[in-house]
Amino acid sequence: MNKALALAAFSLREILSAPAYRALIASTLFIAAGAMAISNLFLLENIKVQLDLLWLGMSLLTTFYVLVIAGSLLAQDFTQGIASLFLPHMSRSTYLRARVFGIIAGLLLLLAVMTLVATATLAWGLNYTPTAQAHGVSWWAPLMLSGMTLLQSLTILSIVIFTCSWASGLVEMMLFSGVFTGLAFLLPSVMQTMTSTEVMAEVPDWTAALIHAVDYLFPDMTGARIALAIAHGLPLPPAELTWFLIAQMGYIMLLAAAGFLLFSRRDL
Amino acid sequence: MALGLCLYGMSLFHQQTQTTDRPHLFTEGLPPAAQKVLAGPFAGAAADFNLLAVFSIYDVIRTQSRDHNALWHKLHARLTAAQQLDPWFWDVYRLTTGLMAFHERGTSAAVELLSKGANARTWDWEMPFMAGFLAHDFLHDDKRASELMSEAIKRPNAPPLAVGLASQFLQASEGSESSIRFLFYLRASLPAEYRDVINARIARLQLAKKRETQP
Repeated sequence: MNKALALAAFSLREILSAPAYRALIASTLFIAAGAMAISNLFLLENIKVQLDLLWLGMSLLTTFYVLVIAGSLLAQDFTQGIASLFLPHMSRSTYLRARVFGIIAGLLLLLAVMTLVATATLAWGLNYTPTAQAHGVSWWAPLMLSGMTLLQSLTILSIVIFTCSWASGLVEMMLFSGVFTGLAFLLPSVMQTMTSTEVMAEVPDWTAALIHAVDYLFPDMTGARIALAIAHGLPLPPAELTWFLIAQMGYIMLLAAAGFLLFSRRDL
Repeated sequence: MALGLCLYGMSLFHQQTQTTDRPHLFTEGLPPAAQKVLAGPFAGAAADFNLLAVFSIYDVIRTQSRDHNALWHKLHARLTAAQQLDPWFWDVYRLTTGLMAFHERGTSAAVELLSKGANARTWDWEMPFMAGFLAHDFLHDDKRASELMSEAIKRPNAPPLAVGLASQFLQASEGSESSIRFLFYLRASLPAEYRDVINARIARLQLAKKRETQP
């Protein structure tokens, strides 16, 4: 257990010393400044625009962190023999778990900084916005958006773990991780459009059944309506929130379990 | 030297966009369904960017004196896209009322958008009220106006002004006075640079009223 903790701490130090990670930390300020500047162009719901842009910014930031920093860390470990340096001293699952804990610690630190900056931005915005135009928006909004971002990032991290556990080269690992993440973002909206009544009325029965089957396999993991409700200060839709949490947790557990299983059997 | 070349290139591009391509730079957009697919979890931000495009298009309409029909179509398309991406977004409906509603051939589209807004913003009396006002005053569709106005005054926080005006609109005997009062109320909630069309409408109504009162 101590070895695992030591490797997790080593992984975190490795991430903290990466220039790309420092650039991400610094860019939280640029995202906040951008959100403040752009939201001022709007007429009434400036706070909503600010929260939209902060949500976009924090999602892109953590997606970049997981795909580029965490992805390249794992990919280099597996393809350049770095993992082999640790494996004589611990089991494969302990090694991978420790690496993932280090990556998650870096992610939590990045999100904590982003949440602090976002809360300060929201406080500034609420101070200058008439109450009627920010009705219902809570001080907890940045924290709730961060929670959603954390779940999304963990899903992407599980995609990266799954991909790196079977792909052979660095480019292949990064490429497939990027493609699968892109699909996870886009597919729910595509399926939502395809299952609309207008489309269903035009396609043959067997195609409609196929589309519905794919829709059940890839439920809406994006949480777009939940993020909109938070930005508008509206009550969160309980059914969608529950489904979002279950779907995200399910995908994280399934993909991570498959990744750990494949990693324990791959050639290094 | 590289920095100098970059700055020179950017200044050339900026100069070019100011003279020739400016109307086309920010006005083109994908259909709403495609935008929804591409926006994924960021539907709110996509709606915001559509409204930024609306500002840009309206700026071109205000500053250039040529045929604006195509630009009004694009403005309507951007507002529709923003409404579909974020049906709760108040700014979409305020701009719909401020820009589209008083433009010729835009009223019907504005009533459609505001009716959708009334369905989405179930707590808001303004959407059905404004849609009802436009349906009555511009489209002369009193059946629809009656439905929308009745919906508006049932909603929480509907002020006495709305209730009073709604009752006046629903009576066959009302004149232009109530329309002028409502337009003044609407104008007060818009920035100065977006008041041109409403000012023109108020001036027309006041002129008509003056002619009616003169023997």
